[in-house]
Amino acid sequence: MDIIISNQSATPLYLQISEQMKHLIVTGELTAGDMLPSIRGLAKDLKVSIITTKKAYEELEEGGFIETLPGKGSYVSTVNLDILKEAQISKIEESLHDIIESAKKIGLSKAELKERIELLYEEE
Amino acid sequence: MNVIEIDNVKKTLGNFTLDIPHLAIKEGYITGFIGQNGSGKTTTLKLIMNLLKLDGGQIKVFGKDVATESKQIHEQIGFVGEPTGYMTEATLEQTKQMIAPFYKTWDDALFNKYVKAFQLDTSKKIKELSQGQNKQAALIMALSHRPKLILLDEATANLDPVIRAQILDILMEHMQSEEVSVFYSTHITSDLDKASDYVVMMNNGKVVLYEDKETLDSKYLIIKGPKKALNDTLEKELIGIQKNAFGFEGLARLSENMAKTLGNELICEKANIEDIMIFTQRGSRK
Amino acid sequence: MSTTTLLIRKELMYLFRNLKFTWVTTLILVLVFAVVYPGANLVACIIGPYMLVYGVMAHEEQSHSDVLNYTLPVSRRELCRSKYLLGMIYTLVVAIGVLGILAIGMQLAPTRYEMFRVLGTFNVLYILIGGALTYTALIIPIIYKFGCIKMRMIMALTYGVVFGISFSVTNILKEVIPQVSEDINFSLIGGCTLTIGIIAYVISYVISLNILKNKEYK
Repeated sequence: MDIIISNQSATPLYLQISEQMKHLIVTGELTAGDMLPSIRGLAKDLKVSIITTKKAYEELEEGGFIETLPGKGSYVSTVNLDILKEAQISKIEESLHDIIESAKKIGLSKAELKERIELLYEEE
Repeated sequence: MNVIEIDNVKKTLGNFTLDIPHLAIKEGYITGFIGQNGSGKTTTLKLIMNLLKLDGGQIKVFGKDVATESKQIHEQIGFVGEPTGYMTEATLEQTKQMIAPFYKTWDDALFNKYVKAFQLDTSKKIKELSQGQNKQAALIMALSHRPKLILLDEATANLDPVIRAQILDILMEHMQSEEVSVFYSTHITSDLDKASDYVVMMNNGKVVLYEDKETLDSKYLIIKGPKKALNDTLEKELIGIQKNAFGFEGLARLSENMAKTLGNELICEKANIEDIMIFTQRGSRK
Repeated sequence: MSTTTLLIRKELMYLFRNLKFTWVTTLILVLVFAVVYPGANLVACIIGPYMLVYGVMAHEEQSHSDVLNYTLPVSRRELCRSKYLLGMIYTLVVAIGVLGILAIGMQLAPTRYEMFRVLGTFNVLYILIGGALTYTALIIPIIYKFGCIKMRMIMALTYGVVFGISFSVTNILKEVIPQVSEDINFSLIGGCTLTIGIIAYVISYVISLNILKNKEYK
């Protein structure tokens, strides 16, 4: 399991961790029932505060990606991942609405927008 | 649960007065204690260890009063002070033989494990060890009885980065158990960047900041910009503002209101702990 | 083992394994004084415990390892108790040692040690112990309150007194004893000295407890 975080990034550390874990779960690298490292173990390995990993796991739990059993640890949820993917897609569509609105405001055409999206997609 | 509770504590030493109305250190986390030399960190730690007597107030550790139950409290504390205070003419092995029986929870296997990790020669006299090795030896003695609270006073000061990283690493390993709390003072802010869950900042005998690491990482920003962008609301929110011919800079703890007032001409940078310390120091000087 | 015993064990281990200079010089000085002149036996018995008690405390003070005692899981009371018990142990060991040397002396040079024979073994022992306890009772609270260096300065004033008393008392006894051996009750002298020593020691312990209770390590 690879999780790389950057102290320089604008994104809060806990969000970086939870986003990367979400990615691992959605792409199937982590499957339902897999046990996640302990909050403390993860903190030590990533060299971040326990508060950070705790918050990351809370994020994941709220999103339905993981379940935490007290005394045992955190596991990838057995919830249908398609449903989760759907939830993420809705979020993306919301952001797309905002982007399209801003583009229309300044007169950016659909073609221009598409071009920019393609350029940026290659970059990331 | 709070492992240390400091209430209405006052202590005067010469010209210096320590005044802490309330400070609670949470159990199971690493709390970093930072401040300039002379800000009161060592005094606070010594009061917790009952090396100094309180002029007023109360300190409780594990719910017990340090003024009356220090013996029981010390059984669960691993303390590394400055100087470390171990007997200079004894070897580490001899020190262990003399000191280990005082602790019911002494773990010889753990002692040996740390000696190996630090590669210390237990047959060398304490006075023959280098400064770094001295601190390592003290840390081994402090950790080997599996204390619930580890108190370190500038334990990494004057050590080279490699040894410092080693020490921090071993501390983090100890944190795998939820019952262990670490409270360590340092003026090396990069140590805190690496290893702390909460940060307490002291200045002139008072606590000026107490935040969790996540908040420090995400909410504290340095705001820079042209002087004309500095309106009243912004000026009120900024800490330690510095103005010169080219603009201004100040520290901000990002709140909802503040985020809205940030215009395009302002640059926001993440503040690390050193920045926070410098700006807070500057702010308190006025 | 009780905490007090552990503290005593710690000091004895450290003294004999690591502070060889201290106990070897003590041993030599005690032997020298015990042998060189009959009256110096009392001095020898006072110097012994003094040097051992002082030696350890001075070393701890200079090397800053006295702070260790305050961070261990021990109470101030147990620290004090262990110190005073150690003082008693040192006193008894040195006193018996000096007595042994006297016994040898009395065999080898009976005339020189005549007055000790007259005093009687036990009385001599009581005087030795009483003297040592009194002196130790003086130094421990002073060290706790003012530290070793100041204690040495204060007590330097008393060195002359101690020597003076030892020698003059011995001389007096030397002159007086052959003449009035039936009149003086030596048991009384022996018993009194021991009692004074014990009382001084106890009072000193109470004073030290109070000093230690409030002592700060700055």
